Amino acid sequence: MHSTSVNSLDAASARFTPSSLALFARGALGLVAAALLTRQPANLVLRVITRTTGAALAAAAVRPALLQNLSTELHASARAVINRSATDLIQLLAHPDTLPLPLGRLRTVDVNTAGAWRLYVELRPHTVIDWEMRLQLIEDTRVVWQRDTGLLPYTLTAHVASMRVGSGTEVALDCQYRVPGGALGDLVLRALGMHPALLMGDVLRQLKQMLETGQITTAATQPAAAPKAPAALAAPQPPTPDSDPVSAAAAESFPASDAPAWTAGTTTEAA
Amino acid sequence: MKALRWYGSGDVRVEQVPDPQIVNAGDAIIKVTSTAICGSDLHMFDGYIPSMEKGDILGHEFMGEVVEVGASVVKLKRGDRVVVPFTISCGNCYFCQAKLWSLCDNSNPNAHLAEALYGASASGLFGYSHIFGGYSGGQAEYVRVPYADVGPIVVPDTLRDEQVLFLSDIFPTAYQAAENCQLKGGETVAIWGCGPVGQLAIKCAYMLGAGRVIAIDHIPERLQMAATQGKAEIVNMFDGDVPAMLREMTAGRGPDAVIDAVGMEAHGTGIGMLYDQVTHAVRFQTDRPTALRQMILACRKGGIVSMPGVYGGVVDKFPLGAFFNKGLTLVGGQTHMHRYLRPLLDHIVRGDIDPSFIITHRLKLDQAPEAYKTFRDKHDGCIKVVLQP
Repeated sequence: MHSTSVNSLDAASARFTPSSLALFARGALGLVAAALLTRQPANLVLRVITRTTGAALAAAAVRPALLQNLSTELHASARAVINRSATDLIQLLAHPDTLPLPLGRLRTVDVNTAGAWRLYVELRPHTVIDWEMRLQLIEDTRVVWQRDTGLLPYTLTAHVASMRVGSGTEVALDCQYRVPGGALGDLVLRALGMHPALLMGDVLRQLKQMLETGQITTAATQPAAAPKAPAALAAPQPPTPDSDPVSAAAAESFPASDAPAWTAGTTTEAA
Repeated sequence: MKALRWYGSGDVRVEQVPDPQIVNAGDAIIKVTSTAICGSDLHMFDGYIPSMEKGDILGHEFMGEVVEVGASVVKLKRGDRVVVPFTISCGNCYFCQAKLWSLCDNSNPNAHLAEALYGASASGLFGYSHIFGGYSGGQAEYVRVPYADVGPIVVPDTLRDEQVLFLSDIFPTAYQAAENCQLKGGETVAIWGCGPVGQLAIKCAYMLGAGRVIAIDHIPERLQMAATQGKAEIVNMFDGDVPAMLREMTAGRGPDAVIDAVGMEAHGTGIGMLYDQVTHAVRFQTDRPTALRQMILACRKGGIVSMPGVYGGVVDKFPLGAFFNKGLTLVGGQTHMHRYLRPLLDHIVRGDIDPSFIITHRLKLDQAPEAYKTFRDKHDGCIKVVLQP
């Protein structure tokens, strides 16, 4: 059976190699040594010497690991099945003005005259960071963006494919990226909640909600700035009395389970 | 407004909180007229459901009057009297369209938490932890109901709250549990647990054609209700080895189908129960499968194990060998509420059944903290508590 849930947490992510693990272990030992040394008596000179030594040990151990992993290319992905056609979805993904923003932590996207997309992402409440990426390719089933400068170069690909069973289109976001510190930096991104798999998963989940229901599901009990679906991709119409899904479900499924022999009186008789 | 809030294991309080308001255009605000404490609320009360946060409003069995609707709501209007199903469904995703309403793809805003724990997320639930959405519950004066065109069902004024309140959860849950037994007529169904779901499952099993229903529990008044109201044969689980007793009652074959109306906090006897109590207390297992083990051992070969009882995590010493070698079928899950609301309401309207027979305690919302303790400890003959805000 095909899963239709967004599956960001299962995304492929950074992998530690045996050599990098050994280097990190050395770094950890250095840090432990530093911590132990700094517990020495309160003599100022001794404290400065021991702390400097410990810090140097730790830095010496960690540095090769950071350098080694600097060039490692990492991979993250997120997937969802959305009840829209592949054409609709490609159109939507390739044109930021049609996206029902905000989605997840993606607040807005500006496109400049040179075709670069500037993304504004809310790192935490009231803290928005932005960066630029370039639309590289639009095909019938694929859109590719690239960012080749800065601290976090990446290639982001969106694939769409109609489901073989049932309705809907699978949307897969795949991100190939580099991060300073490699696997260690990747862990930091995850700890900060800024990991590509998490960000893409949130965006995809909320895009699915917007396209299928016209609203982003929230447990908020107070008014919030609920995003609106753009007119070009309006949400499915609310059910009318004639097309009520509950009635339809009950009408089709219940008679099969509702034993015709049962009446109020038969409970007693059966017993 | 007043609401019942969770603060930790055994600690719930009625406090003033801000009134809910319309957030999305598909929302409605319901003024609660009746709400009930569910057996599964006790799992949170006892601290066994993860991702609860201090101050969460509990309650998923409730009904009331529509006092406000969002701009896109077309089926409800102010003044409608509605019962609200405990599962929240969007009505538009693949699973809702496949009538698997409790597996809705879109209604859990914290789906990533459920995906991390279960691999995929089921629907959001009212008042049932943040894994299931973090929605405020119905043990309150007002509730915000998302997807209001899809879930709530309008009920006629001729019926009392108590007659229809249990459409919100336990009546459809009991019905689905019996339906999952795939009864063709004349079968023997054994039901573990004579709490509210167990009592209604007895009725539903007969509704669907069971020839015999055997009810298992150890609380005298619950067994008595199963016998008098449900016309079930009864077995006191403390009287001996339950699977052996059931085999004796069924010509050595075992019941054709068994229903687990107990869930994750099962009781029992003997060293197995002691083992479960200890491993559960230290969280080596998150749920106590004491009753489930008995069911698998008792059920006849090729039979069906139906699980409406709630489980949350992992269990130890699951008799997989017996399950496999007896060729059993295990079926469970939250209830696909929307399938059953209208047909079961029709049964109530026709007078075929009045689910209110299970109510033993009628209290005010202010008394909810005491009511939780009474219900959990099964004091004072407590089987079902209904609260009025």
